[in-house]
Amino acid sequence: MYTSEKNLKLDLCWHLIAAGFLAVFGGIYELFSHGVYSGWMIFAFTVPLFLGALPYALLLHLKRTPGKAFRNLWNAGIACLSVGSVLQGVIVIYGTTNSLIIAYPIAGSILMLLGIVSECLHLPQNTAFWRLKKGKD
Amino acid sequence: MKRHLFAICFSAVLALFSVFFVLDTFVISKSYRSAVDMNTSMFSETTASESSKQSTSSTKSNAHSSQQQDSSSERRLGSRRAGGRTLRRSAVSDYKGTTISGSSSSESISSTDSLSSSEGNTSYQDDNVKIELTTYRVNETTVYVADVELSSAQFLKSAFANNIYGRNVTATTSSIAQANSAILAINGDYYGVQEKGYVIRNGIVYRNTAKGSDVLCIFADGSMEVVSDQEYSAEELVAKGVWQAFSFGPALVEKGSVTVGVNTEVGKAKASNPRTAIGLINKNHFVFVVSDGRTSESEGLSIYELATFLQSLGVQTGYNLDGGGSSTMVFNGVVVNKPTNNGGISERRVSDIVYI
Repeated sequence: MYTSEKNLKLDLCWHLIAAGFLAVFGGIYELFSHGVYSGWMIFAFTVPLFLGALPYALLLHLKRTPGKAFRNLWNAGIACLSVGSVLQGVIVIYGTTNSLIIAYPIAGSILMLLGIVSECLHLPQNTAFWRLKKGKD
Repeated sequence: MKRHLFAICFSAVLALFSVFFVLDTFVISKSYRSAVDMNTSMFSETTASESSKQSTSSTKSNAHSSQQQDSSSERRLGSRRAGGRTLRRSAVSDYKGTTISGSSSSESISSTDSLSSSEGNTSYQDDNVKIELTTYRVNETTVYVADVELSSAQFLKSAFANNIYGRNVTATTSSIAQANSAILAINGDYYGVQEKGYVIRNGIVYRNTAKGSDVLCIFADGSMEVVSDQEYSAEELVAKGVWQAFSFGPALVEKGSVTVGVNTEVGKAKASNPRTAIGLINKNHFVFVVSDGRTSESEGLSIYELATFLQSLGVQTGYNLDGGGSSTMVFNGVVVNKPTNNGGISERRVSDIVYI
């Protein structure tokens, strides 16, 4: 099952919305944090922006459509990293620690890696599909 | 539904784990051990020789004890455990304010007699403890200073919330103080939110995991020193005679000099905030400092301003404790400062206190 161009655009929009939301959320949270700041909170928006919106924009520009498995795993990884960044910011601002936070970057990285692997495994077929599509067009 | 099955399932798992994470961090209490008896063996050598030299004069009125006064603090410690302590409450009318000069701040620091506990007491004295409360106005902030003179450092104690050492085990400073019959109490280093950092209380090691920061050590001989936890283990510190150790920081004053810069941060905080600090003027002569903040009346102090204020008091060693909403000073059962919490004036629940 392969992703259509429409779904790619949809993902791109969702990542941009998520980046915007995290930017606003981080700003408001810092506003009420009594002068305590955390880079994790302030820059949480960069995860969906540079790891989500940017790759999808690149794929659209290159007219490549990744597999559904890649989409699911990559988006899940970005969600993990984004949530982890926000929570890390929360606990840093509060002044506490929790070793469980390590689960987020680990899970996010693994998911994104699996997404890349799944896409690499489907690469020859993906290329053939695109040639076929071009032929039909 | 089937098309988005993965997304739905993953979102549910992520949400559940995140909720568990938040609860584990802020809500779920983990009781590791009960607070054990105090390790007062380190005082056996110093008590007899020090107590008679450092007994304070008893000149205040309204003595209401029927017990015999005893110059030996060791025997007094025994009588305290057996039947309570001897109290002499001072009269209110003889409180004096003093002007402190020599501050590095451009604003002069002045004191006011604005303390208003329910009974109006601003001092306390007995044969082993002398406490004098003074209020200052520093950089648009009200600062409360308790000048504490002791015959022995064993009267400077610490206590845990609900008498339990653990994570997210909290209570207000005033309730912990009341539970321990404290004359004077301030919030401690809120060890409960940290997973690392030495916790040595009343001569007992509760946590010996270093976190790579400055540790305030209060010794049994009444001295105070800031050491690095990379240099000594917690057990080594107790062997050296450390009675109390706190891991928050940073060190504010060492050997009479300010050790923080203008932009020193505590947990990324450079802004003015309520603060709590403890300092040593000389052996068995301490100051407990709490400042208000985050209100229209009191802006709060930066770390540098706090350090320079401690220096102006003559503090030789000063250390920053947990501030913000935790900053609380309790004297004779009354909260003397204005702790801010959730936008209002109320006490925050904390892990531990330092008290007399």
